[in-house]
Amino acid sequence: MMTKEQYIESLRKLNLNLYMFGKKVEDPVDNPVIRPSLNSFAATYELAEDPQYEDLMVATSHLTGKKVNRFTHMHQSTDDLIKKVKMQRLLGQKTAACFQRCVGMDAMNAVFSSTYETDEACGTKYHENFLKFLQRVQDEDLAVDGAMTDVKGDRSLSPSQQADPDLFVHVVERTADGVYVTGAKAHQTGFVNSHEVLVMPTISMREGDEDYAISFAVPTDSKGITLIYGRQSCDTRKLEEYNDIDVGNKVYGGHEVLVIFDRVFVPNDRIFLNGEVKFAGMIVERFAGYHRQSYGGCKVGVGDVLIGATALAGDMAGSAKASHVKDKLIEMVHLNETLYCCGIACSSQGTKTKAGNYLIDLLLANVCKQNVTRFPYEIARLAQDLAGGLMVTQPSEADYRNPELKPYIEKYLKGVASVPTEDRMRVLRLIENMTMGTAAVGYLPESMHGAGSPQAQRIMISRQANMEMKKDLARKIARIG
Amino acid sequence: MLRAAIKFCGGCNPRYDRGARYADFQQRLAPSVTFELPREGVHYDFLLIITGCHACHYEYEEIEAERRFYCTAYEDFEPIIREIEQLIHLREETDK
Repeated sequence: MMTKEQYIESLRKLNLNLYMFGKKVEDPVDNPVIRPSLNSFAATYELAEDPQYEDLMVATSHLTGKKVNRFTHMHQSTDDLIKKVKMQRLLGQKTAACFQRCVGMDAMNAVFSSTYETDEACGTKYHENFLKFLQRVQDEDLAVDGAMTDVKGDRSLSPSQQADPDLFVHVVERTADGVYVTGAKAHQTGFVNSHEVLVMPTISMREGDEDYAISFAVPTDSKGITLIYGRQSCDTRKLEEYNDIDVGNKVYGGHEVLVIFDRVFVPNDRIFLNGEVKFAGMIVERFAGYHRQSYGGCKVGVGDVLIGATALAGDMAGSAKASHVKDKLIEMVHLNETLYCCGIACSSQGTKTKAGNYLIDLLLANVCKQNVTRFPYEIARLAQDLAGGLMVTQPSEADYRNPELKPYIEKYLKGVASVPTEDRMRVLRLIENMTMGTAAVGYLPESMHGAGSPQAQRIMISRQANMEMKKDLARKIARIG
Repeated sequence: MLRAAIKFCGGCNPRYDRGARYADFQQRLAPSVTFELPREGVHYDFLLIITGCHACHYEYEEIEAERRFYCTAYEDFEPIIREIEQLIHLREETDK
């Protein structure tokens, strides 16, 4: 496995075509806006080196029998699925941000089983291709971005019906050696910190969409890939002279990018689906299921930090013993642990796929994510309630560092006498960061839309609900027919 | 001298600082016990498993050891120390 330092050095060798604020980024690794997201990703390597976390962070490869980072592992049991959720909670706790590596793990587990079943039905060789890719990822401990969400254009039209054919990633040319693809993937979490991108279709496909039913993996710095970095609220605070207190979370963060594929070449042995429209939906459903499970771990860990920060804010203001404060903190814990329950439940009810890896219970995973679209918002609302207005009205760090102003700020922003005013400012900025600053991107809208927007889960819940059985139950009890 | 292996749970939601507790064990039991990370093929006098809560149910059967001690809470420290001190005493008697 790679150490944290080896991982960071490996990123320096990538030649990404990345733009931010209108300019090419020559050195993403040391860019102050990007670096916190790299640090979060690097934590997935750092914790795997620590014996205190090895039990969650490290697994044994079913391909080679060697120790591998769990983020590159194919789940071999329901116990592996549970450990995955626990690992994600741990990393959320350590970073208070999106650590970005889950999407690749979820994509690999989905493509592992779907290629097997595609081959079985169609006589293709995609699983063999994928195993070669997977073994390299495991052996070299590579970071993989899982790219699903196309930009999608007119939502009422299928990929092949769009006015612009490039609004879904698709094959534009086929040669004896491979294919050329064009299109764009939106909201790509962690792409800048990844060595490889694993591309999947974004929706179920039908006849006529063959060129869009494409799954493959290529290096993130492949010729023809252009990246445009996503803005986050308060992002330029990281560029200010005083950029410690005001950023809220100095070390860790997350990022998303828009990824443009302009005639990117994919060699044959890196293709995992190519025109078999029937199996596009299988990849989508399984990836979405795994990723909806993931949110029952990562957001819970981030929630742990937010709850802790809110409790600290109460301690520092002298309000910790007020009954409504205690009750609101209990409510925050209750909501957070409910999400964890969902993550553990869908894992414990997982089943073995034909390929041999384990898939979560899809109904419970979708229920998990549906709750994640709501509870973090309520937790954040309660955090803002208890933090008080000072969270957003306190002076800047530059004012605090001004010798003329500092005594005033020290004096008038003081809460409990024994608590340094600076500590109070730091905790309030952390709450601001997580509920409306850069980290809110990961904790709130990502909870809403990541792994699919709420309606996507409701469709899946409807499909999995087993409604006829429920009607039968009612008929029997009511003595009907 | 006893040879011991140390194993931690994953640490997803620990109720106490497991690393600090491990340091306490090392300090209290030195120089009679040496701890190391488990290695395949090595038979240990005992395995100390430090878990952050009561949820960890793993036996770590792949690690060979005469005895297993589970520290699942901060307060487990003293009772475990007493048992290990008995082991140390027995070993010293045997070695005489």
